[in-house]
Amino acid sequence: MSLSVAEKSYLYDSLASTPSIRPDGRLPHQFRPIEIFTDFLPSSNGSSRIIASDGSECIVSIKSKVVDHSVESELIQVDVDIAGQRDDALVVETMTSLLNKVLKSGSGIDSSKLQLTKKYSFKIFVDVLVISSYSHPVSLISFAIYSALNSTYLPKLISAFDDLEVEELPTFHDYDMIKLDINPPLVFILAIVGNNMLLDPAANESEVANNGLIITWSNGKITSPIRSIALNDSNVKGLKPNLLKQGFAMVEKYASDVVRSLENL
Amino acid sequence: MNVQDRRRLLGPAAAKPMAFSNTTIHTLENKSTSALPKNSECEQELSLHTGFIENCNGSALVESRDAKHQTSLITAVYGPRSIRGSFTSQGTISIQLKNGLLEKYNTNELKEVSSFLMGIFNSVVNLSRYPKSGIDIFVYLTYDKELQNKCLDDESQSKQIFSQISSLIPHCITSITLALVDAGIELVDMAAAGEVCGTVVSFIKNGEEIVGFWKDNGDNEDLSGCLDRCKEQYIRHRDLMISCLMKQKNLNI
Amino acid sequence: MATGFEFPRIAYPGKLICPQYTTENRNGDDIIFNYVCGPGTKLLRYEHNGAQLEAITATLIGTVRCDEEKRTDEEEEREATNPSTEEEKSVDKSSSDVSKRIVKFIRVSVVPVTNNDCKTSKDASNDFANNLPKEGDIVLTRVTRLSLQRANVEILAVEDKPSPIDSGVGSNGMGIIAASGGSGAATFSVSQASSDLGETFRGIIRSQDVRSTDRDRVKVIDCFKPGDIVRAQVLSLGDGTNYYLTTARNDLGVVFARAANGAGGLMYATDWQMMTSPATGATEKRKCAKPF
Repeated sequence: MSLSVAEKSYLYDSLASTPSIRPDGRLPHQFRPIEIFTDFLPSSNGSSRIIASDGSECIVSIKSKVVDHSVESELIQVDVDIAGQRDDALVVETMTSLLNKVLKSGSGIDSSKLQLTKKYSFKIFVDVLVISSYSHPVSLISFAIYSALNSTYLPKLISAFDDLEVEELPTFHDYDMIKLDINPPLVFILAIVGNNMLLDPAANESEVANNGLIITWSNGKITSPIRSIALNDSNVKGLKPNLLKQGFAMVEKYASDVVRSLENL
Repeated sequence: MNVQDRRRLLGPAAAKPMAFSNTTIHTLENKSTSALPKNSECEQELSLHTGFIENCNGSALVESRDAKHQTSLITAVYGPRSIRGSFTSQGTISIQLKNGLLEKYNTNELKEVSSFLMGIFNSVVNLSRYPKSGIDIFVYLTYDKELQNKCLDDESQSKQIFSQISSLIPHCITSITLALVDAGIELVDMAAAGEVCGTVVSFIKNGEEIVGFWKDNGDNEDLSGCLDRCKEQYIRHRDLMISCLMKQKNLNI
Repeated sequence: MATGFEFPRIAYPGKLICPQYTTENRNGDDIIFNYVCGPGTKLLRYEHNGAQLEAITATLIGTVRCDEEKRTDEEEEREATNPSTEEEKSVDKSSSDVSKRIVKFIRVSVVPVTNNDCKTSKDASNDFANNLPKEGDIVLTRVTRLSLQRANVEILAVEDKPSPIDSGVGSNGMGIIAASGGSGAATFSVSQASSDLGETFRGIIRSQDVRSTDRDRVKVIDCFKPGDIVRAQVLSLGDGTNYYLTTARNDLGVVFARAANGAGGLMYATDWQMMTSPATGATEKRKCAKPF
């Protein structure tokens, strides 16, 4: 979407005024309505599809593999595909790198939850396909990953947990599956317009934003990675240090509500 | 069909190899005389050079060495040059980071850093002066070596590797700023950054404004302490850059 | 020039140079110095102790220069229509019985230092970096392609100052003359952009912009040939690929051309639309620039 100079200046002034007036009438902390469907891909362990009200759409599929965790330390791998973008495009690679850091075992995810035996673990492959996106898709993708991981079922182990002495490969139950219980982090995106912070900026709001923040939320607190991000090329400016704190406070205040509503799916 | 590579300027058969004259670089070696030797990241030697690459508009070399690691990176600025395609009323910046001899970082991490740096320099360069043009910045990580650490268990070792790319970012910002000033590209302010335990904060306007924030490690415990320590490093880096440029351009305050 | 304000001598990006206005009382007259941003500076907004301030800030490294600007009547008229200045003017009138108020415009600029002992191509290219073609600029171009409607050119250099209508050849014979020689050559900054790499800015001279008379009967092929060096003026920034240029002025047009599509020797203008090769005596049609 591209706005004219007059439209941009009108939008900027209304977003920067106190209180800010968003074009769709939302409150600063209010998300756009989203629709989530889970567990609809028969061939993957978990899946979800998320649709935002502006038509942005994203599909996430979770697959797993048994690996020797002494060899592979990274137990979650994210791959991002954005329709209409090359695999080596800047947005795609940036998104892949960021999401891998979000879901990095240790800080984001408790890797002991993926451990099968003393030797083997599940490795989770998260494949993200962004079918269409109008604003920055990172928040949408992380919601989709969250709901996909929360609807993931992995095969039930029937062999012994202690396999250090006995050379045997893990064997699984024929039908029984166990629900994956990890608490994946969520990623929030904030637009900064003037001295105002806006959660979940729409495309037109991103276009006039002075700056943006990507904030990760995990286990009830803000955690790394945190980034400032330029949401457009033309309007980017520095931000005052107190806006950073204001943004963190806003996420701290409303993130648990988002988590609750995603859990009640 | 003409498939000749027009970018390659082939000389005549009897051409001699190019010999560059000795460039008279005014170097500035600065050993930090920080009076606070309590934290190790303060004891950092920085060496800044500008304008040593002949065929680009501006260039900078930043070398840093502290107790933990040693880094050297070269930045070259080309442009403003014309860009094809649709009309743009202001300049476009592109930044590319490249691994040096050591293939240390994977490409998507480097791309993430370069898009972060583009965000910073979009707000620092006076882009409205450059309609229809592109400014291309190439950062080459010549080396980035981990100095011998005596006793580190596996966990802290992995943490060490994890924090490395963020320890590189302030030097990238320093060298890009220097190269842009050397190229005569208009900047609103000299951007520089500081890094504390995987958190990079880049400032302008004497620390009044943040142009970039990058956090890779840990939770959000001590934000203001972090900001203050980064601001100290920012001011140190900025003053160093200014005195280096003044020396190189033969200006005296 | 005494402005009553101490300027820093040397500036670097981000260095505050001066506020927008300063005032001084000299012999009972109020003098207002209005500082205007020149090249290498930008007016930026700062917040200091909660108050918004605007200050002229350097964006380049170099020495600070300030020159008084003589505003033409036209410009002052334009200023007067600007509401903010109008307000000032009204204040001016109410207080005019008390004292006279003089407004002086001072252009503040940052000039990159050039080492005079080594005039390298690097310095020239630095000039080009901050002298991108803009409306009204005079540029030197090379013709790359012709069609019935237009001539495609690539921009090689930008002349630093737009020359006046009479080519600057005033009554004293001094000033900027055509680029073909003389002091005019000194005011050109040659771009580093190599045409071999296809990185130059491109332009279009439409057939109706070639000359100011008989515009609809212009034959482009009789005005330019590929390879000609053409002096032109920028009409507009144009679209994504091309600047729109014009040669509809006496001092604009072909300045250098070779005979026989580049195979022959250099030709010299004999009249407004004819060039002759002194070696062969052959003539070719061109839209010539005023040669001197």
